This record gives sequence, C-alpha cells and structure tokens, in this order.
Amino acid sequence: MGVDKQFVTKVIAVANIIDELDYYKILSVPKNATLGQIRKAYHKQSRIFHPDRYFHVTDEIFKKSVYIISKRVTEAYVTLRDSGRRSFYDKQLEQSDGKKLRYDEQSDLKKKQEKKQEIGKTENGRKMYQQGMKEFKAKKFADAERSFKMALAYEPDNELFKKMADEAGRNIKVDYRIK
Amino acid sequence: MASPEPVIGIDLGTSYSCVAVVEDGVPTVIPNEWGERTQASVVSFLEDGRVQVGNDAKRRLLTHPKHTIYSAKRLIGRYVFSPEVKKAKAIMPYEIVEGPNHSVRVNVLGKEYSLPQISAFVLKEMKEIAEGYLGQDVQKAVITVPAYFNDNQRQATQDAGRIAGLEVLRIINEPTSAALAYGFGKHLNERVAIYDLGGGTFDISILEIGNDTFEVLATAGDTYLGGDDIDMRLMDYFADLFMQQTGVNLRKDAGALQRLREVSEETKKAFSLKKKVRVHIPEAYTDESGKVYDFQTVIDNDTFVQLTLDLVQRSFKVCDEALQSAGMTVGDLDGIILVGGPTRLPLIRDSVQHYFGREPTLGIDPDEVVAMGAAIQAEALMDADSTAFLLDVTPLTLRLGTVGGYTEQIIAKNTPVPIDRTRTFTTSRDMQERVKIRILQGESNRQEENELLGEFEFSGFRVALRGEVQIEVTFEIDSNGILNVSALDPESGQSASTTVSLSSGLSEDEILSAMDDVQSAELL
Repeated sequence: MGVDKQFVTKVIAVANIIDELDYYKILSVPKNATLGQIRKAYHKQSRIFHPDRYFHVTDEIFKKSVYIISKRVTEAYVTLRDSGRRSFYDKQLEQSDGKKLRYDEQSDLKKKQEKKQEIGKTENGRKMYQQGMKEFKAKKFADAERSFKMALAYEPDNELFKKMADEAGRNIKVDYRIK
Repeated sequence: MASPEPVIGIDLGTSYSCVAVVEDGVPTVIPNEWGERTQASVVSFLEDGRVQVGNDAKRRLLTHPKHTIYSAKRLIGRYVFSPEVKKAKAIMPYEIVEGPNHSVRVNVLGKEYSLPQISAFVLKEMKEIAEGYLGQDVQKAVITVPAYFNDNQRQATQDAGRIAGLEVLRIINEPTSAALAYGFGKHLNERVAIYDLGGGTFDISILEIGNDTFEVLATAGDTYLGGDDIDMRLMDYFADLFMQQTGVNLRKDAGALQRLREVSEETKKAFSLKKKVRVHIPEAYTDESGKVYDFQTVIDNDTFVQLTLDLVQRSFKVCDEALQSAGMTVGDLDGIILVGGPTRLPLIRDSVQHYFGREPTLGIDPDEVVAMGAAIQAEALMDADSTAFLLDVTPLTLRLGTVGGYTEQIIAKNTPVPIDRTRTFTTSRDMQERVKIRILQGESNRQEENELLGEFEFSGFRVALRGEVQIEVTFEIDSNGILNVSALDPESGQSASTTVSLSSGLSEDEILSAMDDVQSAELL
C-alpha cells in the first residue's frame, strides 16, 4: 500500500520549514495548553509522523522528512511537559521576538548554575544551607541554626548564610518564651 | 491483513529463547519439532565440527562442559575487563579469552568465537524452527533485548542477527514487547508496570497504554540480576553443606559443579510448587582412591527465602527508581505484569504483590509473552494498516567526555526517541588542531564510571586560542534506538559524523566471515 500523494507533499513541505515552527505549532496546541493537552497532542502527532508507521514505504525522501518531523515532535513534547523547561522556553521565545524556536538547554543549565552559585560556592555549603532551610520551614530553629553555622564553616564570608543563622537564632529565643 | 512474507519475533533470552509469528492477527508461539515451546540458549560444539543448539545442547553441559556455551547473553557487548566478565571467568566451565580491542571471545576446541557468533547459532536455530513450521524461508525478524541494555549490547545483538542470516527489522525492549502482547487489540486505557526478571537481567518499565499507543514513561534495570543468581545462591549453599558433610570441596571439580548447578536450577523450579524440596545427587563426587560420596539434603522454603531475599529486595530498589522517574507511586498503576521464568516463584509473586499492593495480572505466560510482542511489532512494521505502535525511551544517559575525565550529559535517561540534541563546546587548549569526541553511556559524571561507546577525532577547524573555536556536537537517537554522533564547525561548515559502533565490536569483515561460518554450520 502506498501513502496518499497529497500527504507526501505536505510532509516534505513541513520538514523543509521545520525550523520556522515553534513547539506549540509543532504539536498544534495553543500557548496555554494544559499538560494533558500536550500529551494528547504528542500521541496524535506521533500517530501521524512516527517513522514506524512508514517502515514499509520505499520513498526515501518522504521517510527522511517523516524522521525530521518526528524528532522535533519528541523534542517539543520533552520540553513542554516539564514545567521548568517550558517556562524557560516561553521566556526564550519572548526575548528572541519569536526567533529562537528551539529550547536552548545549555543557556537554561547555565542560568541554573549561576543561581546555584549565588546561594553558595561549595557543594557542602549549599547542602547544609538547603538542610537548614528545610529545618527552618519545619520550625526546628535550633537544628536550622546549627545547619546554617555548618554552612558558614565551609563559606565564612557568605552573607546569606550569616543572615539565616542569625534569623534562626532569634527564633529559638521565641520558642523559650512560649514555654 | 497478513504480509506476504513471513516475519518473526525472537526473544533471545539468557537461559531460554522463544520464537513467535502472527497468524491471522493472532500471535502464536512456534514449538520445535518435539513440541517444546522454549529452547535453551545453549550452543555445544562437537568434535566433528557439527553444532548442537537448544535443549539437546543443554544436556551436553554435563558431559562436555568445556565445549558447551551457555549464558552468552551475560557476556555479549561487554568489555573483557567488566565485572560481569570477570565473574563469568571464575564460574563458567568454558574458556573465556580476550579478543581484539578488549572484546570477549570464547575458545572451544581450539577455535575462538565472538559472542555475537555464539548468539547467532541460537538465532539460526530459532529461524530454522520457524521455517520448519511455516514451510517457507524466513528472513526478517524483530529481536528483543533487556530494556537496560546499553548501546554496545544492542549493536552486538543486532550483529548476531545479521550473522544468523536475518534482516533485523528492529531491536525492541523486552518489557515493552511484553506490554504490546498484553495490550494489543484490547483498546485499553491504563498504566501498567512490567516486572521482568529473566535468567540474567532485571528490567522494570512503566507504560501508559491508550488504545493502540504504547508509551513508555520510564524504565530502569539491573543487568547483573536474574534467575541465575538465585541458582548460584543455592549452589553455594549446597557446596558449603557438602563440605560440612564430607570435607570435600566440590567447587574444585568442574563436572561435579556443573551437576550441582543443574540440581540447583531444578530445586529453584521445584519451589514454584512445593514448600520443601528433597535434594539427592547419587555419586556426587568420587575421590582419587575411588571412594564415592552421595549428596543428600532437604531444604525448606524459609531457608530458600533467606538465601535469596536480598536479591529480590534489590529488584524493588530498581522499581523505586523507575516510579520516581515516571513521577508516580504504586497507587497510580492499574496493573502489574510479570515476565520471565523466575517470576513463577511464589517468593517473587508474594514480594511483588506486597510491594505494589496488588495482585499481578493473571493469564500471561511469563516465558512466551515477550516473543509474542516481538512478533506483533514485526507484523506492525510490515503492515501498512496496523495501528499499534510504540513510543519508547532511551534507558541510560548519553554523555560526551570533557577535560579532566569528566562528562557532560547530552541526552538524559528516559528521554523519548527519536530525538536529537546539539550542544556547543569550545577548544580547551591554545592552538588546538583536533578534538577527541568520546561518547559514553551511564549515570556518572566521571568518564571511567560509564560505558565507553566509541570515540572519533574531529579536525579541520580554525587553529586559534582556546575557547575561540566553537564546535557543535549533535547526538541523535533514531527510532531503532541506535545512536549517531556528528560534529560541526559552524564557522567553516566542516563536519564529521559517525554511527557509534562498539569499539570492541566486530568489523564488517569479521561479521562477513562469521556469517559464512554460522550459516554453513550443520545444526544437529
């Protein structure tokens, strides 16, 4: 069985302009699509474009085009199903005036790395700080103070650690007063 | 609609293999001429040059342990320095040697065989069983591998198919294949976990089945955990007991040990039905003076559970990992499907039921379901009207080697395929003329803790200060799960690419000569 000629023409055309389509267009969902809609769209588009569907076809140009589209459909799904990646991608679309259409993982990672750097310079410092924040939120202020001080031991100049250690310390006194 | 040319599905197992075909829309397991539905993945070489494969070959384990190769799947696609190969060297009665580029070979009757060649004998036997049943030539097949197999192991399996004279339509994952056989044509809408404990490997996959679309949400595994390990525990227990009873160390006698291994497997199987198993090996050992020792004991279920519980627990750690990857808890699942012979054991069934909080789905043959799924996939690929299709993921993280022995993640594990990812790197030294692209697979940041898939050199870019030249590296996984890597200098347009092929794998010449060997061999 052959494939519909009109469909072949369409697939080849879409593959040619694939770099001009953003992920929402690729999945053909609105910009405010829910996760459920995105998954459904991924299944639907895969059903149309997955290479397995055309395994038996001999037209190599058509198959190559299907493959190009299929890879981009997966890429769109992988990006949009993850809320963190999706919001970075949305910002990227906005800031590039709709010109940067593929999710730039490298700059996303870089940004995350920078954010990490702000919190702490050492692995152990960050770890102790995060533990302190957890304890702080659980209102275990004495534990939190100890963790922040540990973090300070790794990075004595870290203003944020100092501030949190003081803050936790202040809260311990409040505990005593209630008792 | 049946395709004009028959296509088969082969489950190439560590201990047993199974072949199936779709007939009038129904997947059917093909038995051999004796009516046996699974065949031992054992290859035995005879002195006269003939080769015996399957259940008959397994019987020769006792009489010709050095000429009879079993559990080849544990070695295929591995480097000779890997822990699994070292372990095998210590316990296998046949001779394991080092081949070119740190590959593994077995030496039988003075001849060296690659592992793909050994597996090719098993595949050829499966092909011939199918041909005998269908009454016509069979050339196309889908072959299954554990989901957690790395790229090297997949390529080696594909090579085995080619050597056996098969056009391998697709290599698919065993748990995915089982899910396909389970859900095919049933118009389901559910989330299932496939718990696949085979002879040598363990996989867990979590899938969402929606009508005829089978989407793998996450997969995890342990390629060092299987039913064989349960046998080994029993064997160790028996050997220690024999030592206590008689003062004789059976481990030093290859023949006696082989016998003990066989009895251990039988004992394990007996626990599927019994609470207590009597073990008796007459003439288990004969010493130099001709004194004969029997071995006798009774082992109860509690002792059996104690011996093996940590193995079972290990599988649930892997299940935790898969569920976490899928962002789910056991409560989100609609069904549990058990695959692999060892899942017949009450020990496994009970633990699985306890872990998942529900009874596993009944009515699925754990030995045959994978081959049936492979046959369905083979048919679906050849049949334009088929609607069933798989959306699978890559099981392990793909990485690029960077300076100082570190790696950079390019495609994360559990990413759906097909997909490509491009990253930009810069040179690390002034006036650098070439860069080495090292491709690795695994979950560690350090190069040496990952599997090396291959490497190539890229040159021809502008020679400049470090950091000035940019190189774009693209990793691409096609729908066959095969990785392609390319490097591009965007400034000059200079590019290089490679289909990553196992650096310890077979060259084209080696494959061709192995093909001759295997295809002309007379199978008994």
